[in-house]
Amino acid sequence: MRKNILIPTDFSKNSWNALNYALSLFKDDKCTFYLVNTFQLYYFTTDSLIVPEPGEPNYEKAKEQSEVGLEKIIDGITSRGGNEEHKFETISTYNTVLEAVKTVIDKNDIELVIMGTKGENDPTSKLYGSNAVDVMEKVNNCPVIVIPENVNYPEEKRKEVVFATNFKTAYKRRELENLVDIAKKMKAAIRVLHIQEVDKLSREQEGNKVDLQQYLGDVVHTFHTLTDIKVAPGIHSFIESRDSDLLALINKKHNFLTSIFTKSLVKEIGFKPLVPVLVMHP
Amino acid sequence: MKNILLPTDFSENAWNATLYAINLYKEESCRFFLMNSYDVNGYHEGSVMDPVPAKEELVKHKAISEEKLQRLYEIIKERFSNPGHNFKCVALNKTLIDSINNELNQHKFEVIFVGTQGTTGAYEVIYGSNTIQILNEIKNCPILAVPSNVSFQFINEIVLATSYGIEHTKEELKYLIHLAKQNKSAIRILHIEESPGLSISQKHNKYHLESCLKEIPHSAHSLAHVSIPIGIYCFTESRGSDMIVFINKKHNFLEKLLFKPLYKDLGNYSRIPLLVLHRSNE
Repeated sequence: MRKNILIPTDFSKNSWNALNYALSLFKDDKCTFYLVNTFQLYYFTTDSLIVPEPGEPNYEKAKEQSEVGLEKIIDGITSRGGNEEHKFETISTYNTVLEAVKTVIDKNDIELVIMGTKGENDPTSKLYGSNAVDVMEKVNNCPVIVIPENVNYPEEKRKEVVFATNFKTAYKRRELENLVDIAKKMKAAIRVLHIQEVDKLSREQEGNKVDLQQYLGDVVHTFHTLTDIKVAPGIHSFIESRDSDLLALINKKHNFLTSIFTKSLVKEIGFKPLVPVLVMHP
Repeated sequence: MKNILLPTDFSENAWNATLYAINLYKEESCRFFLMNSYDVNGYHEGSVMDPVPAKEELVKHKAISEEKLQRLYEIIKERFSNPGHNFKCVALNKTLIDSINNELNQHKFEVIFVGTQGTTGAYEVIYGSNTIQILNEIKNCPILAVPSNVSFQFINEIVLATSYGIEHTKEELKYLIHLAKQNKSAIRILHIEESPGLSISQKHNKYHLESCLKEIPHSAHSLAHVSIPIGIYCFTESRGSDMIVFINKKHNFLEKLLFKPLYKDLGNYSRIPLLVLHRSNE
């Protein structure tokens, strides 16, 4: 079955890098890649009531720039020979990145979003960085992979995906299939990482762990625990220590209060990821 | 023939360290010194009422100590009939540190094995006062502290924790290099970054260290945003490393203040053997 993959692009080096990552990851699959560029006009914000109409010169100019940019990307890919199983669709739209992504997901039956991000240290790209975090946090009907700057698809033999989880919520087989699929594509082992707060797992956690083990099935996987460290630095240390290749997380829904008082894990990790981050939904 | 010092108080911990030592050295011909210090003259809890023991008390303790050592020796002989291993029993009426120094003055020892209390949680203190004392006061012989819940297994990798603060000599790394060669272990040099990047002298020391280790498979790693003990713990735990090494500086007063807590903290986190090497004479 043909897979539909959405790749938002802003024509930066990062988004080109994310596209290449996607092409490598799905090199053996029949896919349609939807390349989406959003354009905005400087003196209009998308939230404002005065919406620029198609037909206005500025709007048309921006739209043309966007279309030409997408055209160039397609040229770039096809000039490399490309993959016969890969098809490309381009979409230029006047919108915010988040809204555009949401719309395209619903319209085109998208299975996965892959986008690039720059670290927050780069002052020129605050916008793109927060866009990635927005998409990771707020798109809740489709998994998202965010590819940090300068990270290429790993070609070496020994690869591993870290799935950080606390065993607290019940896993859905359907959602974990995304993780299992990607691990299989990468020929990677899955390292299930638990940052432990208390000494023992509750009975519920034990039960979820057993389910998880079953869902991971025949993918090589191991369980790891770190104690006495906060979740985000624990995950960072684990990945840095092992040179892991991808981090998978389930984005828990936060209620209003916790979202005010604590940074969500996705936000904490997503602003400066070390490795590609796959965000799934409960 | 190599001399190896095994101080014992006939506890489980000491027994475990003895087993570790015998297994670690099974390919080499060695003379093991089973040493018990019974320290009748010193103050200890049992003798508050009678601080100056009668002579017969002394004879009794000596006899008990010797008998126990003999029994220990027989158990070892029965379990391991390694023709390359010799054992010597030493019972001394001295404090632990004095006993160790007494032996170090008489023979050249390759390493001292110390048993420590093992733990499963990160919060418990595992290094007893004896271990801390040995680590702090014995400065002319490598010390290997073995937690009681660790049994000997193949040493795949040894983590050398360093700040790159000093230039290490090949002499002080000699034992580590020997151990790594003997066990075909890789060495992972771990640096916990306190500030981003390395200074010129740190870079120099890093280069020098790596050239000292060039005969051994090794790699350099760094972790940021974690404290030193937690970083070391996360690294070894994440990778499933088999041993931690670090090189103790000669203590002046200030360093003593700085270093003592590191031992204590490391003790809290470490669940793998800790090898302490010493700065050679400056």
